[in-house]
Amino acid sequence: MRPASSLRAWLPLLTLCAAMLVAAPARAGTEASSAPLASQEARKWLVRIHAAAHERNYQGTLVFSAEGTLSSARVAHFGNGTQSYERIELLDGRMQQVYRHNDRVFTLWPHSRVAVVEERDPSQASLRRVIDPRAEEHYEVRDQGIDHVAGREAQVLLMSPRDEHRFARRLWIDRRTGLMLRSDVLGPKHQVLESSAFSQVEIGVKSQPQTVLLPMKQLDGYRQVRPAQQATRLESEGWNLESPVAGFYLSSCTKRTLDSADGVAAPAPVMQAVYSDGLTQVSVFVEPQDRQRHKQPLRIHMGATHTLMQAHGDAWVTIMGDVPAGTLQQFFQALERRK
Amino acid sequence: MNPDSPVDPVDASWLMSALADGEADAAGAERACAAWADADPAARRSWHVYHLIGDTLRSDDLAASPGHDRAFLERLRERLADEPVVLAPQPQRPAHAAVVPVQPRRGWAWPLAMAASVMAVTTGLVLTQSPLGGGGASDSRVAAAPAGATVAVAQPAVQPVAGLELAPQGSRVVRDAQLDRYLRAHREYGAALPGSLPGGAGLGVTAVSFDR
Repeated sequence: MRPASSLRAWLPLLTLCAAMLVAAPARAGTEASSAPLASQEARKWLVRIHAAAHERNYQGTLVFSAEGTLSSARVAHFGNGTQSYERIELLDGRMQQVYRHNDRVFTLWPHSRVAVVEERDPSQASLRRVIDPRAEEHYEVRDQGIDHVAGREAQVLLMSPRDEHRFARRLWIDRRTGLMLRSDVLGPKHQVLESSAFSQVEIGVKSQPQTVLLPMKQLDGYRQVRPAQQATRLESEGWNLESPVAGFYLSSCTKRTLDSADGVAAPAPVMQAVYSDGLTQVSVFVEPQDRQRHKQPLRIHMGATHTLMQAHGDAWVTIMGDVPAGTLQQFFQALERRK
Repeated sequence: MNPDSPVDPVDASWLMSALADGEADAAGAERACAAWADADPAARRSWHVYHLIGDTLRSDDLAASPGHDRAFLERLRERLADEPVVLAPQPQRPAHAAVVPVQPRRGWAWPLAMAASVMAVTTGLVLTQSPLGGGGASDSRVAAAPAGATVAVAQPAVQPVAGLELAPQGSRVVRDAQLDRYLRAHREYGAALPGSLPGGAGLGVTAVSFDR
């Protein structure tokens, strides 16, 4: 390729890219300090978001960014009231694929040819990822005007925590359907810790359950792993967490094996208790301490997700969630051996 | 074609194009590297422009500021020049090489693969530098993994776990597999997905409850 011709050929594209660069920062996201919405109205929005997530058929491409890394996934959701189908195909890294039909979840790792097959216990159906309208008790909701996401008109809502135990969230809600189009997790100074958004989405598409069900049947060449998972209670595992951080309530408690991406199960089963405040979740993992693997206490964060790992007597505790580090510490302190 | 003969500017520009497109043959690559090593400004400019074009076509993010990575490379070169070379085998000085006073510039004379991976390798270097120098500041970032998560060590009071392996491989990082297990369990749908998904993917049909 001659330099002159290659430049000429690429010039229009370059111009286009430059135009997009200029356009990008022009989008809204302002710190408009409007008054918080009345409780009734805030709740109405949250109910609408919740309902749209269940009822709408949609497919599109999601883009996530945290601390300078970027990744994306193709997603589709079809639901008809009684049945729900979902497909999430990560497009980067190890290209993990998740297919879900109601409570049956298949996670495929194409490179290692491992399929993790899970049957979720409906009684443990957590409220994860769902915005529970109850979140309004712990977050003030503010109207931040209109913006556009993936070419659709979006209502911007800022959910500011009422205390220091959680992070703020800015949500972009499709004006026509109520579907959440973008979600940013904000730090104490309203800096964006992580962001996930549709870069392209079609809402109200025709339901195509076969695109979910077929990959769940075509597992030739895949090693199938069925991790053990059973419902339990903190008390029966010998633990108490009577006063978790204000506003968090127990949403599920299971005993399970933690599998790695290559399908190798961790040696000992782990208890996982999940606490939710309606918008975000905190997982408390407890397992017997293995002195080979669990040596020193640890505090780390990835994007908005903070993690605390620390010994508790002869047990090893891991607490993880999209909350400030102090909240995890409070969870740790509230955890007690049952006498 | 004799690699020792001087490379004329037009020719150099063409060579850089061929090299950037992966179309250069061995002799072409050698001549292109020679032009670069001779500090031919036109050749270096062409090389930079072709990569900028390529980067821009791949991602807007890479196009942000054209002067930026050059300035970055300059700074890196300065820093590298100050670094003592530890256990580096002495390169055999080629008979034709122009006298290079300052730098371990032999790097530039390596063909294709080396030249192409310079940016990737330096990214890894810089990202991994901060935890060593930062001394545990809250933003002492370790490195970035394209699969999703950046691991950062906060809280100076606590030592990072010895088993936490964060080995840089270019700009990639081998994440701690143990931590990934927890993250995957916490996020239900995989460590690479964020905690909250727009659209509400991941919820079960049984979870609907609007009121207390």
